Amino acid sequence: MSRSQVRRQTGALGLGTDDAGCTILHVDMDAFYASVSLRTRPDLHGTPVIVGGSGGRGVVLSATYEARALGVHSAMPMSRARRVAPQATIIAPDHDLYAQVSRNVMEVFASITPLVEPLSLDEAFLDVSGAIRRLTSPRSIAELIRARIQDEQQITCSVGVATTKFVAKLASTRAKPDGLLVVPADQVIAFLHPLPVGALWGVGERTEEHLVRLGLHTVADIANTPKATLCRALGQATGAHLHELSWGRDPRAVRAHEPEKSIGNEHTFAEDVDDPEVIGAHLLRLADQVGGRLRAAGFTARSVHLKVRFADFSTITRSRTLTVPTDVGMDLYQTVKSLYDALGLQRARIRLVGVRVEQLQSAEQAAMQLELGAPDQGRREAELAVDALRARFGQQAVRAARLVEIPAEAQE
Amino acid sequence: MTTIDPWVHLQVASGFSLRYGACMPEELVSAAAGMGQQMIALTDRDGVYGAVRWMQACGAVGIGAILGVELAMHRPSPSTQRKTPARGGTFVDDDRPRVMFFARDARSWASLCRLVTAAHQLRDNPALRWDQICTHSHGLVAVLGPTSSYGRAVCDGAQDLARQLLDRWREVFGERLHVGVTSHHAATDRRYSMLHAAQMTDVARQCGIDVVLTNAVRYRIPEQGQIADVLDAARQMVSLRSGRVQRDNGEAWMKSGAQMAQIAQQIAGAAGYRADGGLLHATRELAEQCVMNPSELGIGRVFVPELQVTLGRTDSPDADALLSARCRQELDSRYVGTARARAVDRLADELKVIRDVGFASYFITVGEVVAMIKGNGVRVAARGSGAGSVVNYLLGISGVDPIAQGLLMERFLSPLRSGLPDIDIDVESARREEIYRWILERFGDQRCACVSMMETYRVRHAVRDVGAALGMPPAEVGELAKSFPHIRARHARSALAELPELRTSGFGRLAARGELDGFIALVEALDGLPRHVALHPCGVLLSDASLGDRTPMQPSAAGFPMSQFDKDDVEVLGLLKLDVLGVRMQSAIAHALSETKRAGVDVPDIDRIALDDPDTFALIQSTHTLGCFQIESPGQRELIGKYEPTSFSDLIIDISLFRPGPVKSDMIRPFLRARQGWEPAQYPHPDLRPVLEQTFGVVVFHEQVMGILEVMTGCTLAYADEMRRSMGSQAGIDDARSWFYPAALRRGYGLDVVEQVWQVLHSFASFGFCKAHAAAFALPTYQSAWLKTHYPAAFYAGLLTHDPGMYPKRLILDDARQQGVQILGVDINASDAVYRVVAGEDGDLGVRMAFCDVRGISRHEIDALVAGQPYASLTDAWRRSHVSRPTMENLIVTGAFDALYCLGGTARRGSVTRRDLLLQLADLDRHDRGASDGQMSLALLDEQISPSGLPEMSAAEKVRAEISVLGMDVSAHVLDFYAPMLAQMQITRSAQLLQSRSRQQVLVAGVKVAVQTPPVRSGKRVIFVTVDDATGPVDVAFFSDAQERYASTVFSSWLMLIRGTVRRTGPRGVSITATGCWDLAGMYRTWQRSGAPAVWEVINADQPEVAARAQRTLVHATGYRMSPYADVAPPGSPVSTMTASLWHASPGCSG
Repeated sequence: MSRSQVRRQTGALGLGTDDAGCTILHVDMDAFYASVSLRTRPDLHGTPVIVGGSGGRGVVLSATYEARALGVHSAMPMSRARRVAPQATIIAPDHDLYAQVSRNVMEVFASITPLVEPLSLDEAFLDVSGAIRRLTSPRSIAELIRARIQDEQQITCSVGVATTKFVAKLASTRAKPDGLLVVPADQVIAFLHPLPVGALWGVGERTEEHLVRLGLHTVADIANTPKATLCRALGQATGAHLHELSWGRDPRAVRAHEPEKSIGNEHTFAEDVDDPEVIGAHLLRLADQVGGRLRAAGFTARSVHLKVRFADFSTITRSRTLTVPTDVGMDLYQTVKSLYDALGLQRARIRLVGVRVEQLQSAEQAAMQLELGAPDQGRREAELAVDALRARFGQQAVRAARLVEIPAEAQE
Repeated sequence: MTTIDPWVHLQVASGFSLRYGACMPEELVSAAAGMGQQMIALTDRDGVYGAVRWMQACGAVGIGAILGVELAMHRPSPSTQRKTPARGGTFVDDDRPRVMFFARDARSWASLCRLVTAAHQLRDNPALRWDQICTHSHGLVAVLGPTSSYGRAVCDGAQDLARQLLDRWREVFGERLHVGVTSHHAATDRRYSMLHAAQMTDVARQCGIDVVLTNAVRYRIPEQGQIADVLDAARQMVSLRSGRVQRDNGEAWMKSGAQMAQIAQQIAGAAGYRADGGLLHATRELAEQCVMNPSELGIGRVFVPELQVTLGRTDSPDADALLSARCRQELDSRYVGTARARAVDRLADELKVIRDVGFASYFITVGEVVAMIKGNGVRVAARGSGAGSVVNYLLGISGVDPIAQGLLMERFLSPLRSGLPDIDIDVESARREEIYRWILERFGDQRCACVSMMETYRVRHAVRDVGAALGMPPAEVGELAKSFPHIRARHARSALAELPELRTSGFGRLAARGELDGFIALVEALDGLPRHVALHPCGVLLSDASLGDRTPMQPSAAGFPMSQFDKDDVEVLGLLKLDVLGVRMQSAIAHALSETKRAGVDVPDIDRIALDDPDTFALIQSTHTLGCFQIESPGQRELIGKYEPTSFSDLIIDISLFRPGPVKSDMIRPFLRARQGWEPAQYPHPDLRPVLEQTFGVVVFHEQVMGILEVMTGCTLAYADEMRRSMGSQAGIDDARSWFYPAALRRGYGLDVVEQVWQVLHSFASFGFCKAHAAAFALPTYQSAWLKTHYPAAFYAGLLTHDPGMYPKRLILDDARQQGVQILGVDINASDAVYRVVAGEDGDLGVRMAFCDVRGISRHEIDALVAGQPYASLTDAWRRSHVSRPTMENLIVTGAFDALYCLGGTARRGSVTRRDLLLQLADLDRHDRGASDGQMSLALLDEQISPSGLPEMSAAEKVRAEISVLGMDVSAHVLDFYAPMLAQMQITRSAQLLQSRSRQQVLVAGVKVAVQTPPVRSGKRVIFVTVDDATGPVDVAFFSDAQERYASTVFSSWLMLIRGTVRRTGPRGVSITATGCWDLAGMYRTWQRSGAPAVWEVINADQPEVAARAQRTLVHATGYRMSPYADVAPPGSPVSTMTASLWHASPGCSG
């Protein structure tokens, strides 16, 4: 029933039904974590359900539409969610299960086209231009995906079908939940122009505020403003980019594998922490993990970033560019630790710490430089040996001595 | 009968040890007395804030009071210098060595005061240097406990160091040095362990130092340890959960002598002594040395600045003669004819009283201070009972003639009064700190200090500190704190259960399920504990050079020397206090007057104008009194509408009637009925007619109570005032009654008359108002109304600059518009730091908006902008004023450049707009940062701005920008944008309300401008809301039945649609009893989408729940009821801080 309802809505937008040339699909699971969790709790269907850490802390991972109606949204602190929706059921997340379902969903995509660009566990762009001959039309492909996911995974998704990635994504958002929206090629402008400027890719809260201050409220307003004016207001790059988007022009293709630009790991504490010892230990572990991922991917990194989020959710980041790129966990740790110490925090309550590296280059390229630092090399060899041991005996097999005290569950 | 317990607690921290002690003095003292202990010491951290209350509490239960202090020793900490860049604030060193000091007599008390003052030279972290201890050690007893450097050395096993330290202290304190040991049964290697106490005893005894036992008490019973934990967490600013809080192990409670004896034996045993090792005896012996009596604190004596200092002379004239001469000199110019004869007699009486009590130099001092303030061109007005004294009038301290207004000296000062007379003066608030500096300069900080006050935990702070201690998310804690009205912390639980807006919230539901029980218990436990020492807003102590011997002083945040005692304490201590209160209305009047002068308008001296101007009274009677001192609140506007004052003395009565007491005891109705001639005035006896005539037989003033007692019993007015004062308590009422009856009967009054008069006195005596005080208030009331009548533009410029009233500025601005005063927007070349009176387009005077209300603008930017005027262009202003880009953007969008670029008027596509200026600013900014893409040259930037094609701001966008930048709707009223809906739905406007009938059903709409929950007769909470709808204010009352359903909307919305019933209260009095309330913006969306019928459907379907839940009422000794939620600031943010939230989803704006 719900699906026919959506079609009526689609018709109500007055966009017509022509899907010729609309080869880009954006598929987005509806309330993914919550929907997956509900598969084992059918009794909770139709009720407010929140997925998230069940302790007093932690954040909402996902919520059913019934819970969203009460004002719950993802990334909201759990304690706040419990206040705005005291009647909601809270389910602890099952990350293994989500990963499994996500793999299954991605397999469905892969069976249709090799051109799948996953954005996260629960959404992806698909370029189906090669599949049309086999599967008739983009619309019927979208219907097929929706039906298969519903039948095989017992969760629903929404699909946007359009000629470009960004319009497809807007369409899937418009179709939510459990819907399908095709934006015909000749209707892109009609679809886009009434939307608020915030809908455009790359327009965040600040940019939106800026645009509204200039009297530009809708995409149409942007489209009808001279590009030169936009560039004066927003700078050359952003101005030109928004102008293109406002006319539905988005040259980005669906890419099956985006090259990694950065590697990072974060840790959210079960309870806010203000003990430098504990924080230092976690930074060591995160740096170690990031180093491992760098080596596994064959990269070295030139810049190291520390992220600290406080109890009030305010967040600061600090970064340092290394003179010599590295993939050694201990180097990363020493850098982030000195960044952390430089903050001079005595008793700040910290919620999250993260370590991230950027400016990646292939390790071969950097090998020559690495050899110059002889002592480091010993360290690097040691970590490579640890990598091998872990590959064989599991992640917990080898750990820094000071990390032994951290309970395994904290080391996800 | 409790048996005597010989034990004495020598170390006790009360709640005055901020965020450390968990109980207030009275609780601790009576607990000690209850156990039979005969003495108890107070050793608060960093000060003697609680000393007076401790002394009084001990006196009340008849045990000896010992006064000491626990001070930290300075130790250099590298981290105190460092400013931490992120959350977590500055470094807190909570573990500095601490030492106790005790006074033994008046001399050593002086040392103690000086020592505490010295410690506070380090402002935020009071601590002592060794040389300061040496300087102020005279007579003091020092006790080195476990946290002293000696205790630490012993704990670290550094016995040699420990001995050296003892020698060093003994050099200064000799026999008066003691070591204090404490066992909290802590783990053996820690401080507060039994072993530590034993080692401390052992080393001290080897060195020949006496050892005493203490328990480092912080709370009365073990259960209160949890509160101490929260306080520890709050003080150290870490959460309890983190495990990094240094806290005690729950043993710091007030133990009995038997329990302490056991501890003494354990310590002595561990140290190898027999029995208790003499610890108990030594403790008691020290205690006996240190017991203080009140006179040793200087209680009962008065110290006035030396007359030479006051007058700046070298000789010392006779104070009485000087005062007399000064008064007589002035008398001739103030009084003539028969009035003069009366004045001479009155003055002679007053001077005699002043001579008898010895306060002449006090009056001279205050007179000098007032003269100094006036001499500096600052407005001064006396307030309070002091206006009743002709001496004050003649010295120029008070501006009201007490003889003409029938004010009594005895209400202010009499030989029978034990307390000191209080002279309070009101000055311009904007210049209060300047005045403090003048006074300090004149008398020097040896003789002069401000008074402190303890801010105590109320619910919001308690929620925040407990939430932080328990590690709850700060945003949630903030949300919870803000959802409470500003009630006492101890009412938190009942508020969550009783107040509809809280009960139906998520917090209320969690609380109902018991999920907040532990949390709320801690919140309630913090109730009333001091949390912050602040500068009292008005008290200034004046004394001779010995002030520092009688009160410790610490610097206030602004750097003023501040006594550690509060205003009640200083009264007990006999420290003479002059209240210098900053009144914003005085600043507003001063600004208005200087603006008229600047605009070249001749204005008579406002302090000499006749008090009977008919135009002024016509304005007051019209109830258009927004902005007028004391008569602008909804309740006062209703009262003056009914009362229609026609004379200055009417104003005095009006101000006196509008007090909680008269309102609650229903004095207003009989008064108005008699005044309006509906009923004759009633007098219990013809003899009382002269006393009660002015108020038609109703007792309104304290002075009338005194008059009645004088007439009926023949007592003196001085005695009558003593009786009146005593009637505040039940015991006092009984005493007064048993005196009054026989005395009145003896004078020949019949029993029925006596009965009747007693009833009146009984109910009104404690509620009446001091007429002198009301008269002092009525003067600025009249002056402000006079200004509003004759010089409205200047009046509004004053109000808008100094914001003296209860309403947000945007309402004052709207009132100005309605009074026909032209409002000119912010202008880069014409605006100033303050609101200016300027000639408008039509030649009439208008008000020019000021830079000061531009959001985010700094003092520095304002100065730079004004200094650089005039500017030729945006580029010119940007280059020369150096204001930040956000500030410049704010100026542009509020139209500050409109005049310069001839914007505004008809906006055609293709002409230059405010948006083009924003783009120009972006170009300039980019150019300055060297990031210009197009290599634009400076010359090009300076050229004429070319239109970019961006649309000009719509009228709605302009108003939106004004509200978000200035907090005011300047170019149009917010409600104007709802006009089509209001018209179609026939929503009644404020201006039409006067034509409506009583009990008529109406819909009104407007912007919330005031919310109050004043005390009312029923003792229930009534929410009075004022909304403003572009034609004036509408006053609405929500009674309990409407609150159940609508309270949360009332508190959370800014734009409201209200359904209600009209209540006519007089020819000009209209108010509305609400039966429904909705968010106007939401209703507007419904109207836009589905039309008026859909809105009506919502309104009609939404009805109040009749079965309101009961709320508690507090019943006072006098029998009057009051809601615990009355007279407190309502939940949410204050109305004055209304922000752009007003504009969410307003018409004309998408997004």
